[in-house]
Amino acid sequence: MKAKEFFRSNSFKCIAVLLGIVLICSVFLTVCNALLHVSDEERLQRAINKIYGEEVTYVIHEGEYNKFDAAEIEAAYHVTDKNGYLIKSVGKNGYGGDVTCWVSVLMTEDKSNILGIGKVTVDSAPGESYLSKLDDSEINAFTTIYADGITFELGLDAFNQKGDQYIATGASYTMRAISNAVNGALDYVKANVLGTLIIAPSPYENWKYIQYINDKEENTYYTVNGTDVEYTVTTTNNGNAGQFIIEVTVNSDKKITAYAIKHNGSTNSYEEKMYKELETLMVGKAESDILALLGTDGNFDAGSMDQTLQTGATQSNFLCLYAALFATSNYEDALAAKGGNG
Amino acid sequence: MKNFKKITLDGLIFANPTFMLVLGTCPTLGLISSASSAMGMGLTVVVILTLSNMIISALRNVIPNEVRIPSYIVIIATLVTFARMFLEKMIPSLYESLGGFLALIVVNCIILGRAEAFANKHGVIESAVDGLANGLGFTWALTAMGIICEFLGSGSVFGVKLMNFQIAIFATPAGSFIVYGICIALFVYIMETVQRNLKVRAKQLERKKMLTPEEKIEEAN
Amino acid sequence: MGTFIAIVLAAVLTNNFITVKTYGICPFLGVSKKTSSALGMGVAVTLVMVIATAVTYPLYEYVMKPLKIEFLEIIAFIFVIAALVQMIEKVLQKTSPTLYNAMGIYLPLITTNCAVLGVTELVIGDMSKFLAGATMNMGWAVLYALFAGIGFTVVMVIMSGMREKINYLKLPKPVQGFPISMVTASFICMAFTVFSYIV
Repeated sequence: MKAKEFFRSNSFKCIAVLLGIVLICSVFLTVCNALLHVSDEERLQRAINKIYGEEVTYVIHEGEYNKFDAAEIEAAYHVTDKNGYLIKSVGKNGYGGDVTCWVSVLMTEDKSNILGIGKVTVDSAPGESYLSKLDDSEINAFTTIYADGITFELGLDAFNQKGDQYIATGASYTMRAISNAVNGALDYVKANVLGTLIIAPSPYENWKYIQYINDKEENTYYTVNGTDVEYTVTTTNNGNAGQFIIEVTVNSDKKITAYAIKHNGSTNSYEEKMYKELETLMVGKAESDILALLGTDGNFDAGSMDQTLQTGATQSNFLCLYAALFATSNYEDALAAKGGNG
Repeated sequence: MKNFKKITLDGLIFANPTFMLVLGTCPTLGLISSASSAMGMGLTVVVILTLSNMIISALRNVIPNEVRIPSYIVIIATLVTFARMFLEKMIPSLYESLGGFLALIVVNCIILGRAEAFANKHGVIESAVDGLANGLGFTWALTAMGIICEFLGSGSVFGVKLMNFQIAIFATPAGSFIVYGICIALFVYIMETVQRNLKVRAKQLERKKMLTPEEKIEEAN
Repeated sequence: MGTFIAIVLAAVLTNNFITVKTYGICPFLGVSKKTSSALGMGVAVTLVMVIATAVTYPLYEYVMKPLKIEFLEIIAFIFVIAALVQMIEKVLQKTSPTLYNAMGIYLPLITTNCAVLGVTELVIGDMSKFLAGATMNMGWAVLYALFAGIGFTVVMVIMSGMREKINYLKLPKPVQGFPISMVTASFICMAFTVFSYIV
């Protein structure tokens, strides 16, 4: 009879009522969720409408979402009623990371050329705490640069033209990333709509450790000399450190026999902070030795780089190590490609 | 009928949740820098408060006393979730301007307070009127302060530029605190003056009633 | 390390819950008459914020997201908070009566404190602004909750110190109580806007 008493008791009533309310509420909300769910397309449409300030129609533009030097294209849309393209472009080399921008590119009536840049909207900029120092007119300075007829050159040139102005805002690195995103968007249109930009496939596509290597053939190249491979490696930027150009020679043991920094990409004060003996340190090292210096996961952020190299110019040292890693680990590929006698 | 009048006036003025009881302060201070978002918040609360009061009043004999607070919270949370879904789908601009404060309506003391103090003791219609009155009392207070703050902070009202000036502090929480504080002080002052006058008048009327006919003529002269 | 500093600065100074986000104003105005009670409330809120975040963040990420029931988030979170507050109260009562006497009276008030629900909702949203490039995980979420609570406590204690002095002032009746507290709070907010320039 105990069970019966329990079912009649007040505590059972409490539990039953509470559970009943929760159940009814959950069912109600599930139905509402099904009716009122905002789909991803709707969110996208809203985001795009917000950029243009009115309702627009668009179709996804299926181009080659190439990795351009300065930026990575995440998505591209052909906005039909505005005669232009809206490109979501991730600009590299901000102060703390990448900056994702929506760039609207305006076309001429017959779509034979780019008319200019309509608007640049920053979508997300993790780590760019200086973004708040830029206002809309500064971010959209590009619109006038292009309209003035100044060619919007790839890379840092456009940034440097207006550099002083942005440095005054205290957000020069953020501005560099935004400028990279804009360049990426323009490149996308040139490559996929106009066909004026032809991107040759990189010869190093299947090689190892290429994430910090400029993989254009004119920038990174090598010659085979007997069993030695002599590389000239151009690196990418890394945070505050600019491009390095490094000559590395690797012998048949896959060890470095010569290592020389031809162009130092460190900013002035950091060049002195770099590890002085780096060039001699690299000689005689094999792939595994360099990986040991970097730490097991080869991950810079983990701070696992050997203590001696943590000099305050870590980003520069890191690029130098990656250039060496690229040279040693791809010895066989290089030899095979050039038909050497290895 | 007289009862409804009292409920309405209490909610709107004499026991105004914003100025007299100082409840629901978080969304108030967070949103009065813009008149339209303040009003949007107010109207959202009106709908949720009226519905929650009605539902709780209808269920007041079903819900056991021991689990009444959790039950109220679940009902309010459901309504808030529904409001959030509805606004996100139908009025995205308001949804964005309310931001995090939309979800925080759940812990708005006004709603739980009215449920505890009124809805679980009164009928459905009375509770609905009470919810509507308190919600509108909250709305007009927020809108009034929103207009003041937005005008001082950016020279515009409801997004329409009226004058070309701005006092940046009024667009921040610091300005909201000042405006809210001064508004409470003014409201309390006005209420006290009005009530004192009402009392004086009531006393005079009482005296007049007590006067003899001869004295009345004397007074008139 | 960079992310750690960024989170601490954002939670305590630049995005302080009271002075910038205006979360948790009820206890801020209600329980700040004396420094001791302000400190007790602050510590209690911080404790609940940390434990609540430690429960709701994994609940949302690993249970509600895979099941696609994110829309039940508000109900689930408020329930977790209410249950936690009750549990903490009972545990404190049993294990440490002194602590219970110091904090016990504030605990029931915390369920309806915006700051607790606010922090659990914040950490599941877009936090990329505060993370300096790192991705959100449970550790950062709890850390953010902890320092947001500390920021809350700091402002509570400052406020209570000022109010203790204000009590000695002779003020016109309409200005007493909430109005003068709010104007005082406004000055604390103004002082805190200075910190928005450090990052």
